[in-house]
Amino acid sequence: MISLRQRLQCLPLLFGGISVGLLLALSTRISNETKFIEVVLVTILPFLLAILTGVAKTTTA
Amino acid sequence: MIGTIGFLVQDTSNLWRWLLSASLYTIACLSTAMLLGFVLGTLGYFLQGWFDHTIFVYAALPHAELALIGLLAVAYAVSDIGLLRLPRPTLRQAVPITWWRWWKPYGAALVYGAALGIGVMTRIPFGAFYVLCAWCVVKGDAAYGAVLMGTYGAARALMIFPASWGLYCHRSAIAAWLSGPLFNLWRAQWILAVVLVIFGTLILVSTVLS
Repeated sequence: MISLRQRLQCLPLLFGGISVGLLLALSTRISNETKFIEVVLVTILPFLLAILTGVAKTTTA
Repeated sequence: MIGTIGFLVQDTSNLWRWLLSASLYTIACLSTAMLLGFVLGTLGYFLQGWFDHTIFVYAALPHAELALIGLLAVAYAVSDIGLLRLPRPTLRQAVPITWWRWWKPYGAALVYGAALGIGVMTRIPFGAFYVLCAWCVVKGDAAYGAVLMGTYGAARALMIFPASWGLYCHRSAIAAWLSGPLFNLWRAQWILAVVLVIFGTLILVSTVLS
């Protein structure tokens, strides 16, 4: 059983993730290669998520 | 999960039988995962036309469906670390163990693979699965859905090869091995939550700024 304290300790990680997402989104706005980066990120991220979910589901659930 | 499947595909007397049952499991898992993606993509294709004409938010925010996916991803990331309760619909809590007893080894490898490839036949502790399903619907492309969920199914199925080999090599210390870092649910949940929140924020901010 995961305690509330352990769960709350993950909040900085989540805020870190939000910051990274925000930085990536903003950097694609100001970059000259906006479309290219955006396409790469939006294309790659769902597949990365799919791989991680598949591996995690098999190894843990 | 991997303990059960690892044993399932190893319940054989030689290398070729193990390879056959593991391959059957992989093919079935991959096929049903691709089928799920295909169905979700097709559903999205038909829903898109309906959404275009009925949802008023489109007038104010183009690509509102992407913003919703972003919000969903962030919400499920928070849910994964246990700070928010969100629905996690499944058809069953687990694949019945009786299937293994009835059809082992090859039939069981096939039905386990098929059931696990769909995803919703077991408890789902990772919100990323639902976000991926929603992403397939939003994309509205059956081929894309099949490839994306096929990636999920392949990652899920192919893990069985190194894992069952590990079980074989560590047969005398299975309990210790199963409680090792690879099998830590909590760690996997927060790692996926961080990736999910990056994905969600990126989609959300990109949509709002575009």
